[in-house]
Amino acid sequence: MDAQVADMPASLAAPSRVPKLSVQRIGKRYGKLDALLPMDLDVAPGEFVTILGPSGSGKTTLLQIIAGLTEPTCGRLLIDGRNETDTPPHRRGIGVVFQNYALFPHLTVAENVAFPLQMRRMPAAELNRKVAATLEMVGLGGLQHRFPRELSGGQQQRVALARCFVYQPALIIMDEPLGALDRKLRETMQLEIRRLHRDTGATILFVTHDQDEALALSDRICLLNQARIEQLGTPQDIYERPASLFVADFIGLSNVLRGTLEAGGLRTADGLLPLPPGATPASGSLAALVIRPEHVELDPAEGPALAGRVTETVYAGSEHRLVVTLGSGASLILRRTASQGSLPLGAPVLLGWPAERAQLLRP
Amino acid sequence: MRYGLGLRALRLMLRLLVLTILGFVLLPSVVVIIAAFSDRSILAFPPTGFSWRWFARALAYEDFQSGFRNGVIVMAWASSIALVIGSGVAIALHRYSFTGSRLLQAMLLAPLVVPHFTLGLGCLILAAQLGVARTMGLVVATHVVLVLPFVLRSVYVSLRNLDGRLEQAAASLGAPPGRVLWTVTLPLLAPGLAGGWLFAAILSFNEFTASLFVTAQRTQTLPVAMYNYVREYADPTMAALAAIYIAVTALLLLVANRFLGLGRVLAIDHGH
Repeated sequence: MDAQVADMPASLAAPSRVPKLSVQRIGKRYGKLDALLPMDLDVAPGEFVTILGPSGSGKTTLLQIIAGLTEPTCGRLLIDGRNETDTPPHRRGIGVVFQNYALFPHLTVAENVAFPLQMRRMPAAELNRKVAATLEMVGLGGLQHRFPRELSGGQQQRVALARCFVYQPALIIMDEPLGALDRKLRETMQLEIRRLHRDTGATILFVTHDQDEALALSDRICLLNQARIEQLGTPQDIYERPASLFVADFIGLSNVLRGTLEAGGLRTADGLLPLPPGATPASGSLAALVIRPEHVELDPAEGPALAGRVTETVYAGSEHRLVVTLGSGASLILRRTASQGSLPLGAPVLLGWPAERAQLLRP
Repeated sequence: MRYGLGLRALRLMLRLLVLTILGFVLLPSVVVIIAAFSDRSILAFPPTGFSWRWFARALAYEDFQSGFRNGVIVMAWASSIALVIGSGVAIALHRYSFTGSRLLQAMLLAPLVVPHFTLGLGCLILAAQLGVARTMGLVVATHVVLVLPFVLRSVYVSLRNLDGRLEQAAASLGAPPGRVLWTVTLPLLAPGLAGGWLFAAILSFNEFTASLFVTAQRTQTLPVAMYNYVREYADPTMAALAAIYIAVTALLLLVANRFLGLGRVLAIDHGH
């Protein structure tokens, strides 16, 4: 029965307006310190939401509150519309994959994976079948009698995933699960997690401080900074329409030009720059224009043209990155494809960008 | 060449120093063991002949036999009771900070610095005031107070080394608090618990000063029986008993090392 429901694509399931998880004005104080300012977050069934932010931004606190491992100071937590704010962790049925895995060192791989099933008093035959199938699924068949300390980091990570997915929790939280792995393995495991997400239809809340990971995996990203939500949106939203300079700076490379607003545009040390269409700013206030490197053009056909010199070139395989220093001393980064080629150091250039590609943000 | 010679001389001196220290540490035991094989009925060194008869007497002496039995009973009860109380208190102290938790900790660790003499006398006066006879129960109770700090410390240190996220993980996987304790916390604490128990047992079995106050003729433990013997006789029986003591202790340590790993029992290294 359950398996059939899980196999059904989300669009065919009964349309439901109830979020899988609803965080309502949840906040956490430690004495005078705000670990988490009251915030709201709804996660739809089957959604993959990443909680992204620098360390100390409140990511882990939020996750611990949702898992029931920390009590919130205020607010309510709903799971499937039920108020679960005061439910102890073992009755929430949320799967948690911990940072550094938290595998039980005194139990074998198979015993670790069997643990949640034993807690649910599953009959032995079914339990063994499920453990074997799950270990096979994460590519650990044949290692069931090893102890965690006898496994590599990547293998331990797979055990942690197996231990979580084996009892098919409808909501899974992962706390920087790939933090301890090297880059190559991270990318493999990212694909693995995406596949597990697709196959099981579980709702996943994924915590990371790695923006590439967040962009690659998520349906939506919830960007935290200084204990509050800085921006909540799809990866594309966040990358192309950052809500603040912090977001622009945290996600991807950004060029930031600061100045004062006046009637015709933004007055900067490098001249008057046009504003993106639709911007209706108050004259006289401080602001910044943010342009992504891929939107900066050489010798632009229209728009402003800023003069500068190439001061740095970086070869990054599929592209060249040029750093151009403007007359004021400010520098801009631009990307050129490998076929466009690089430019020699010191070459004078004219830079511009389509006005609609720039973002006007308050500093 | 000269440098090499100097270095070699230094190494030789170091080796001699180590041997001297070892000799100094071992000498008393060696003297006692040799004296135990004496054939004369006064404790003398070096012995003039060889005989096993003091061993036979030590093993056959009734006060030693009953002292050994009493010692084992007191040891088993006292260290087991201390283990239960100590683990409970250690877990409470580790997990919750409550009013008076520091005071409780200080009071439970106090027997480390209070002379056993004071404790024994205190227990004796208390028992007399309350009209409690000098039974095995009194001896066990006194020993519990004496060994509790060691158990408490051993378990507390193991708890500090325990990764709290393992308990959180167990809870998130559906284990209610009782099962978290039983399936995760206790198995991971097992080396600390075993070490604490063993340490308490050794202390209890060897304890003399406090035991002297709270034991009666019927309840005297082996060290007290040995003391009473020395007050009356000066033959090598004591030396023979000491030799047996050393042999048995060494054997126990070997067994503990074989099955538990001495490092783990003494909580020297932690299996992370």
